[in-house]
Amino acid sequence: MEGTLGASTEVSLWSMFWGAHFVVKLVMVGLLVASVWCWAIIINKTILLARTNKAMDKFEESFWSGNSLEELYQSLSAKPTTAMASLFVAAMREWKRSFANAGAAFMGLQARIEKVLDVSIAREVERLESQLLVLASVASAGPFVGLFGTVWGIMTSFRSIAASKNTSLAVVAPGIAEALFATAIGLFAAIPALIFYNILQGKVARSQARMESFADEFSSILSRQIDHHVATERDRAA
Amino acid sequence: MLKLSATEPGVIVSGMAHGAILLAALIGFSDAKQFDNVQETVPVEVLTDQQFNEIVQGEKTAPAAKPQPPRADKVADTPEPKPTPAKQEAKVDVPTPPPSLRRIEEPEEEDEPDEPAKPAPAPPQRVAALPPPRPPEPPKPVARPPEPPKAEAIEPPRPPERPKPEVKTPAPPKAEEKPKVDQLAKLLEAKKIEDARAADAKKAADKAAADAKAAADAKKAADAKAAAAAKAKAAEQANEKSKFDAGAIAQALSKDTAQQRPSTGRTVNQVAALGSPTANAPRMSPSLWGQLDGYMQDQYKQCWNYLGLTSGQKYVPQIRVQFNQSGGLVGQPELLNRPSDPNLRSLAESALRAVKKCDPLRIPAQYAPYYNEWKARILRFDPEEMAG
Repeated sequence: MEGTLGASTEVSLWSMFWGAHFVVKLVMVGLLVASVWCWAIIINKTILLARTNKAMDKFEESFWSGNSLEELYQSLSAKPTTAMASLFVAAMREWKRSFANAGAAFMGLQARIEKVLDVSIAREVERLESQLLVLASVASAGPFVGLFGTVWGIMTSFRSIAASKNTSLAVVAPGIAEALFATAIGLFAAIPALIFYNILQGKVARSQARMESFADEFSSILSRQIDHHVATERDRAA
Repeated sequence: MLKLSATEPGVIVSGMAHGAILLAALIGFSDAKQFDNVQETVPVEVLTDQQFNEIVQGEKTAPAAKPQPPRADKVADTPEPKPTPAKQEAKVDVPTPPPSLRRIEEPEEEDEPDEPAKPAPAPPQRVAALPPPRPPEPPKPVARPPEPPKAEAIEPPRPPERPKPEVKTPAPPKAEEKPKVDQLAKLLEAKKIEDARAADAKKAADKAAADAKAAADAKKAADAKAAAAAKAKAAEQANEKSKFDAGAIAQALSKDTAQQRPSTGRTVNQVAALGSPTANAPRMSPSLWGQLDGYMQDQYKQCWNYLGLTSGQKYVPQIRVQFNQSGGLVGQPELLNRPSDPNLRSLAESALRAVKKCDPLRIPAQYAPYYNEWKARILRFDPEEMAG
């Protein structure tokens, strides 16, 4: 009695993994790796978004502080920038390039600046959004992969029931526990992936909206400047 | 894709967290909690004597059950396979039980004379012992010693053929023997045909051997050579069949296997339950009930004197009473609905007093058989009804 009990009740996590079929083992390891990857992405993205938000706050503060844009550009262009600052630097660079070759036409400048801003926004959003699709994939595929492991495990355990011709629950239970373990890991990976995918996606969308509104404001400021310049040029010409 | 860097600590942090969780799970899941060893509950219903008697009462008018063949739920598909053990084994196995089990007298008579001389003293006793199904066994031990002669003169290839020549030779003991052999064959046929045939063959062979010694027929001697070969072949076949089969023995011994099938027989035989012949459960008819109630009401009316004013509240004291066989009270009468109103307490007490006053209640003798039904009653003392 003691011996059989000891043998049948040994269902620790490790023995559950080790006793499983090769395919089920593969599924379990894959899902575990997927879970590690998902959490790495989640942590990285959360940190990145927090930093981006902080940088945007800081930039907006200095942008609206009333300092001259030239000074701001000088201070920002020296080091690598993020989010709004990079928009600002890209637009200012385009502006400066247009003024560098003296009598350049102001005609296309407005359109060019807007294009540059759009491209910068797209690049920034792409940077924020990268790898979020991994979370989405794991969230949707994880349970299925786990279920595959479970079905496979139950299949093998039924086959061994048929082979051993013993249907007592103590014989069947370890195999089924192993099989269900695969689904458990799948859910373990998929649930946080799904939750954080939604959260991070929302945060990225909010950042994008913020950058777009800044780009609009900045381009309107620049267009006012362009008009001003055009007027002074005309005055000078006259 | 994923870099190990200070600015993106995700991989490191995630890996460490997973490692920690796995470790915790390994420790936490190291042993599964066993279920409490809960005893399975079996629903139990408590039956009174009365109810039990009603259940086992059965029909009194049913005809007496005749001895029935063993119960069979199903018609057997195929005749039950019978093992065909070899002659030698049959001889060894069979003789031991029958003397003790079957007839005690016969073995005593037969065994002693049989052993010394085979055919001569036996006949008269065997004629007497024809009907019993077990006579063949005693001769068998006899048959074994003369095995060497069997080898010499085992002429008969077929047992039925053998007796015929014996009939022609008019020896009185043989004539007596032959019908016996036939009967034996019939009796044994039901059980083990081949066994019986083999036994007969041997017996016949023995007798023939004795005859051969005495008469020494030339014909038989001529047959003997040819027959001996056939017999030897038959013996070989019998030996092949006699292989030990433990499974068959276990099957024969075990009365009920793990998965018991319905018993089978040549015909389906189901006997209706007739119930226990001793149980009885008489029931009082409604009219008897009415009479009994009337008797009791009359007696209690005489014992009860209550001159209370009927208040607005309707109150009927209910008293549980237990009677013995002769109508006396058993234990104290118990008031079931104690009144909350103190004015009504006198009514309840008067009812209790009435019950005690009428202590040996006169119950007519005709109710004695139904004692189980009226031994516990709840009496209702309705002042309005009693007054009327």
